[in-house]
Amino acid sequence: MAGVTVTVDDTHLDKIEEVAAHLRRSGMHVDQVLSEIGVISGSVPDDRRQLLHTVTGVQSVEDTATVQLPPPESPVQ
Amino acid sequence: MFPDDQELVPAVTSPGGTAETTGRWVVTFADEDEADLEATLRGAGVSHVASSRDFAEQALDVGQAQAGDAVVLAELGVAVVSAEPAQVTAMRAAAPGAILSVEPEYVHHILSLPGIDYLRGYQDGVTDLSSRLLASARADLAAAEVAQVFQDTPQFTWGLQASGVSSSPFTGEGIKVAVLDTGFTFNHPDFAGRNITAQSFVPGVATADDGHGHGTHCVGTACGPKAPASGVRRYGCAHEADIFVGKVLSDQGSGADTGILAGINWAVANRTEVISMSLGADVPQVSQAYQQVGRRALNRGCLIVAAAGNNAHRDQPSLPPQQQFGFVGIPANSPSIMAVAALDNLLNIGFFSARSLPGVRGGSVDIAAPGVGVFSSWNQPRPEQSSQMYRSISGTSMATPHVSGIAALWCQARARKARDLWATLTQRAQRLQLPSVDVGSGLVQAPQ
Repeated sequence: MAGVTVTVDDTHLDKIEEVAAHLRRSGMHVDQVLSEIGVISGSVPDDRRQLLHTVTGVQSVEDTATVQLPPPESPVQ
Repeated sequence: MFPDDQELVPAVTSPGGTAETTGRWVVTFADEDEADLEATLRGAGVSHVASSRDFAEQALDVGQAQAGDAVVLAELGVAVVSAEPAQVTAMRAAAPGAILSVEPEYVHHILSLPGIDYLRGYQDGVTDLSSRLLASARADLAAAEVAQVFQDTPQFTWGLQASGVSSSPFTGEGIKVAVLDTGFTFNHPDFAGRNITAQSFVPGVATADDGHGHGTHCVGTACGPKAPASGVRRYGCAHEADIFVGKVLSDQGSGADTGILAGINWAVANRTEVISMSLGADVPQVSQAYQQVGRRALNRGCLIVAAAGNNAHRDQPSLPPQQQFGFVGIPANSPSIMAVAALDNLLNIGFFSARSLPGVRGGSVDIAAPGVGVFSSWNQPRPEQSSQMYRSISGTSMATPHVSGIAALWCQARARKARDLWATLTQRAQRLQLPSVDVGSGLVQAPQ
């Protein structure tokens, strides 16, 4: 399983729930449908990841990254 | 205000001297209404008036038009007039306030390399000037070379002075600033009575309380009070802005894209004019998601401002370039997101401040702001932690909320948002004698 961020293309922004449903049927576990910015996030088993690219309305599929700040006592943040 | 008749004699000189003129006048009218222009001209005895509207698609036949006394450029509210100085004076007198300016019609030339004579003259001039300067006392020379230096004072942080916030009459009133970070210290005494909306996007964390300090520091710089209750110096830019706190980073300072994107989505849903993100990942590629998100935020009137990154080590010149100068990471490297570099109080680039990502569209530093030794609010004292109400720390994280708060001031001052606001910030920045790959357009400046 890997965390993924799916960007929906401009022409499917108003049908984002349909895209999300299609992604679920393709094996993605959908956590969030962010309709203002056109992004669907969640996770997908490694062997199903390529399938997500074939879903209509998907512009890109990227691994979720993590941000890490320095500790509070660090002089440079 | 206007020169008298004697000064209106056109000067036709050779190239290399003062500019060459034609003898005609370029007249700029206050009002673009063509009927008024023509009336003003005829009233001054200028009879043969041609107009660009006489030609198909206003493609003026310049030769034909110049045969008359005046040519009116209908779209521009400008006319080129052949007139005696006395006629021009009469024109201005007949319609006071109708004319903004009267300027000689100049002849423009392609800019070519100077000829030998010009270069010799230039060399003589430089030699003369150099010897005069060198003849002065060394102390005079040193005085002429002093750079700008700022210090914290009892009234203001150095950063508020350097960015012009300390003298700005604007407050950010009515403007929403979202800070997506480790949350905020809601009972910090400096923020009593402020309009604050908060939400956590950290899985398993219900409130947006700040257990780290970073978020509180950034909110402080962006939106801190005009007169802090404790009597410390002012450290915040948009002191009347509406604050939206999105906790997208845990108290340990970490957060996945999922929470960060959810925070941006929430801010955009609330139409916050400025979204401040003092966070990033040292990834040298543009993320498609953040690029589209930045674009969509702009389309909805929201400007995302993000930290360029702290992955440089400019104090270690023996390092290979990518490590010495760093690079702008995600999300600041999106073309649709404004990337902010950090300056110190001598307006030098911070040793840690990341340089533009080479060869990547959008991977540029767009602007710079105070980011070294920045005093702002921190977690309140708590028995279980040795933390304080204020701290001075450094980072492109500290530069970013300066730009965010100042963006809110410009938004209030000029009612500009998104792309217009971005343009205003970069156009009005103070240009520095530093490479644009490090500082973009320069030091952010507040509206005065």
